[in-house]
Amino acid sequence: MTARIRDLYVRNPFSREVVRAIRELAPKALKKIGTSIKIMDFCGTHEWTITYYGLRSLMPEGVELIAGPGCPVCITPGHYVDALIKLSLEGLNVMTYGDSYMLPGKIGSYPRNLAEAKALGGSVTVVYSFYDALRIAREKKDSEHVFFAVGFETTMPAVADPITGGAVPENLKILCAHRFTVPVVKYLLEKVKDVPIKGVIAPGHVSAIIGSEPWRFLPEDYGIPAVVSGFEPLDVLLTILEVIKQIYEGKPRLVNEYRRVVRRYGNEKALRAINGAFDVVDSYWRGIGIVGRSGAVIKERYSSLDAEREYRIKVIADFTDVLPGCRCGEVVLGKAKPTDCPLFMKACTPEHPYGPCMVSSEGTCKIWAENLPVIKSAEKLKHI
Amino acid sequence: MNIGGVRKTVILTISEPVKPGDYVVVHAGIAISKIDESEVEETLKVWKEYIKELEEIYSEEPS
Repeated sequence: MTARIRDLYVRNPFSREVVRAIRELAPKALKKIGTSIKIMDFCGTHEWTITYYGLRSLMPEGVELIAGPGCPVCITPGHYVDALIKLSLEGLNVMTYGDSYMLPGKIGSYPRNLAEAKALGGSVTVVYSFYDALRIAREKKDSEHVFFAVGFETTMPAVADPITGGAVPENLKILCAHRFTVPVVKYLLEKVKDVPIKGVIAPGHVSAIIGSEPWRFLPEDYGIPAVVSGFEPLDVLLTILEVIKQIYEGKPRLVNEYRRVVRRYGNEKALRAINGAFDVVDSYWRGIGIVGRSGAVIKERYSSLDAEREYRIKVIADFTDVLPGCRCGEVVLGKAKPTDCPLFMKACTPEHPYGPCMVSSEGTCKIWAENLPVIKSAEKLKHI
Repeated sequence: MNIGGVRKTVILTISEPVKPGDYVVVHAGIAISKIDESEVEETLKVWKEYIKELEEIYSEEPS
């Protein structure tokens, strides 16, 4: 047992009861379905909770927790990065969230990322939020700015709300790399047959925006238990228990465990802004390919704000951003673990990330890298 | 808003009214949801009952 789990049990004795229930019920559920139970998370923060607390080491034999595509930075095409590097070296001010700052561009790019572009004299500003980007663009009226808009539904309103509210100044363009999560979950179930998912830990903060209802297709169309989950270790443990219980009972359904934050139909104001600002298109996911109706582009009526049009930035699904030797594409889909990659903690570390999954705090490789002792002890117990 | 003692301006993208003293979830500079404090206790109560019911399942059949 890791020290973090011991602390958790002391802080919240109920979590010990939940673990006991998981261990009691899992063998019965396993007997019922006759195969192992693979439960996938679709949010980097869930993966963080699972890894940081060492929840994998608490799972009974046959129950496996797998990280899915829950990190938007990891799947953002390198084509965007190359385009922004070029613009920054031409004198435009590129503004980015901190977790995209080290995101590598395409194969052979030099400089490799926005951080290196800045070191070579490019103009790059790391911002905490789009609100800060708006403030900087207003303060520096004489220069041109471009904002790297990365993220799933959780982050989209940050950009969509000021767009629809007319709050974006003309000297600030937006490079919209936003992606929707539900289509990639469907893609995974339809196209990636070698990852047989028996349960889904549905992303809590994406669901704060879209609601719990969009996940109903999981039990209804695919017979897969789906539980919208919070991010405390107890939330995740209860979610795992509920998934196992549904498997045991043979009654898959949608449950919202994160009721203190997630409403059934989500955040209406945020959804209105997203629908008002963006059109939905097929889009390329780094390491994965084209995912139908999964990308957001800025609507025609706001085209003067669209960096893709303004600077003629093109993303082609040519996989030229899948770096040689890097297994991030497989890690993102749950087909490989970070420790399966020969580069992990050798040529690719949090200090010097080579692949995209080592860059963001939501990337599976970075999460595992920062919790190596926990990973190693779970490996010894054959829980990974 | 106040994040653990740090004051920060965020964009409110919440339909429900928010007043000083409320807790909200903030992500990348926007408030995305108001935390329903009544749900915290309520949910925990429901889960505790749920664990009790599960104990009946364990005792149903040996694994």
